[in-house]
Amino acid sequence: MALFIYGTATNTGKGFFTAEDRRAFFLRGYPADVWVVGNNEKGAMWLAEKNGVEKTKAEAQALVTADVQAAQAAWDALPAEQKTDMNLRPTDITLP
Amino acid sequence: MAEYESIHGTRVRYLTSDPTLDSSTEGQVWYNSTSGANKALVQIKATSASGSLATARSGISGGGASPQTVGIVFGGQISPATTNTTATEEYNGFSWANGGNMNLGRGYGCGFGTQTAAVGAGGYDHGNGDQSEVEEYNGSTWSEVTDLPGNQRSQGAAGTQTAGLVFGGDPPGPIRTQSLEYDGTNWTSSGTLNTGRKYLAGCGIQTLALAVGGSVGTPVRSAATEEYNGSSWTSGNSFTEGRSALACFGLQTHAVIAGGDDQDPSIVSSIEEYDGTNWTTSPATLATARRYFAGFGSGTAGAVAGGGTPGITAATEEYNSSILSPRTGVWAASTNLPGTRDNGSVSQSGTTSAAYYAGGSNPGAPYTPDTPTIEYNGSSWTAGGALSTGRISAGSGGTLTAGLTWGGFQGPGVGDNTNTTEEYNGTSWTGGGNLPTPQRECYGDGTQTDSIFGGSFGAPNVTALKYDGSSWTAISNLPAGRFGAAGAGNSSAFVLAGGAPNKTTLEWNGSSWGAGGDVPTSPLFAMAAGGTQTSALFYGGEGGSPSGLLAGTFFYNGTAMESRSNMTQSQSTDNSGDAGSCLAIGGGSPAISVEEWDESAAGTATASTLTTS
Repeated sequence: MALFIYGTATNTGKGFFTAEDRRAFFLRGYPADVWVVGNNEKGAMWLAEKNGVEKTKAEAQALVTADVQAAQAAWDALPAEQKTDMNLRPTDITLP
Repeated sequence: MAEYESIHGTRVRYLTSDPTLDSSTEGQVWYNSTSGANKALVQIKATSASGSLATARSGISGGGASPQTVGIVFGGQISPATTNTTATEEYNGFSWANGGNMNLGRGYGCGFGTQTAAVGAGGYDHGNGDQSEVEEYNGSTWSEVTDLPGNQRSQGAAGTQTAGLVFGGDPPGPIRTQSLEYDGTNWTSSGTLNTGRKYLAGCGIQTLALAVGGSVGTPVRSAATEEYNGSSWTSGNSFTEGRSALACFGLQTHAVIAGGDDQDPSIVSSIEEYDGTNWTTSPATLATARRYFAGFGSGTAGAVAGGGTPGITAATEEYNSSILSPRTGVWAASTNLPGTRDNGSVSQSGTTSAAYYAGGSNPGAPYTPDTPTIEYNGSSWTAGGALSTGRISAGSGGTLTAGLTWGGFQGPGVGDNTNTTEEYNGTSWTGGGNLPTPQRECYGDGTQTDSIFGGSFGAPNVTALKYDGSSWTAISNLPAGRFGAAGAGNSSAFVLAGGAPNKTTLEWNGSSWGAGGDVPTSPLFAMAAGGTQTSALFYGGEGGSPSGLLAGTFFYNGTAMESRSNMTQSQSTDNSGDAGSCLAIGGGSPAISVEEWDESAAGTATASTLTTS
């Protein structure tokens, strides 16, 4: 069985995930509103209650990669003087 | 199986009351002979989501001395390396509101102080390079004050507006070791860091500050800790994962670091805690890994906002660490109602042996609001005086001999909602002061002379009112409208939770609303509640996915909602009693059941905060 459930959901702020959620199941947020939760009842319920849209791992990874690649392209287009140590080139993200 | 005594060398302590609890008592076990419960302490650490910034940004500064629920952030960049922002935002533990704009937009500077007395120093202004500009914030506007003695960015900072400290950063190159003290007017050089670094973080006060992490030259990330005593820096123990562009909050003796980027450089989500000597990796992590962001608060209650992910984010997360005592409690069947009833008015401040249940209706549409009152003596229900106005989904409170009900639905053809209030003396109901407007689902709590509710069905559902025994008075509106919320307490200390469409928990302190700990599931509508602001029980209601009646029970300790044993059946029920002992009356299926909550009874061990160290 897969370890994680992948999906997209909009962070609505306070209460979007609670301390009890964090203690109860794996939850991690990524660019493009992608969320990865534990593949268990609580994780699945959380994503459903947040009106999340479940994705396959490949679909979720594609969303994240597209977001990162857009940031990388924007960075690459910057003049050299703006490619400073406070503005490092975005690195690739691999979902768990 | 090994016994407790053979493991610990002592017997379980037999106490008549709980000991004074703090972090030093973590792991202790004792028996409370008064409540008849075994108790122990465990520590819980976790992050949770909060309201997002209006302006997503990276390279953001903040007032690190601010408490978790009174934060401030300012400046930063709103798109990679191209646009500065002057925006200031103020946090109330719930959401962010715009403050006065800075005079000079810039990112990657440093900030210190509080929401009403902050300082922004240095930074990088895209198009104009590093800056020496310093500005002070007074809670509404920024003013230019004495510049830093040179352009600089990526520093760490600590302290307050009248006793601040800035350290490290760059330029001049390669990396600064310099510290500067600020007295509210002038900058003075002080001790130098042992390890020069940039994009480090700091916390604490001017005479007891902490410098952590940072970059000591690409790509090397530092895990170094240094302590400042008001004149010089001393190296402390390093933390586990070297990182720069991290956040730090708390004090020199109890600090927290979070996020940043490591040597890869990958953006990290890990959190570590410092106790003044050693670092330990927190079991909690940021849900969203980030760098170049702001942090503020204490070592047990902090918050972070904004940052790069690697794009820019507006997300806010709170970090909380609590010492908890496992508690027990169970619901048990009590004497059924004489007939099915739903959504009646109840003695919220009553007891399990002296309660009333008035009005309500048959369960299920079409509802026919009724007038009878029934009274409970701990074993049986008997008839009491009838309401003048039959009603369901009314607010109610008080006791068997001093009850109160207000508003509610009168049923179709009668005029929809009512604005009437009635008072009960144990025998009969008489009219009280009317609500300003007819309302229903305006659930609250209190006594016949001191009740309160927030939210109602129908506009404006930001309504909040209090009753003094003769009339209703408007208090500050809720931050966001809702109906069907449940509450516990009185007009000087009240907690409101659940409801729709906004389920977040709010606390009323007698003058204003602030954020509380949320119910861990959502949505929840029409829960029952009883107790006080710092010791309340919320249970039942409707919600879930798909929506239905619920059996969940939550204890509110003044900070957080903690799960308790479920009711034996799902009910949208009504409460009589407090967090330790109460009745859940009607509202189930069939709607005649009554359950009694006994906190001291043995049940599923769950956690309740007694003291936060």
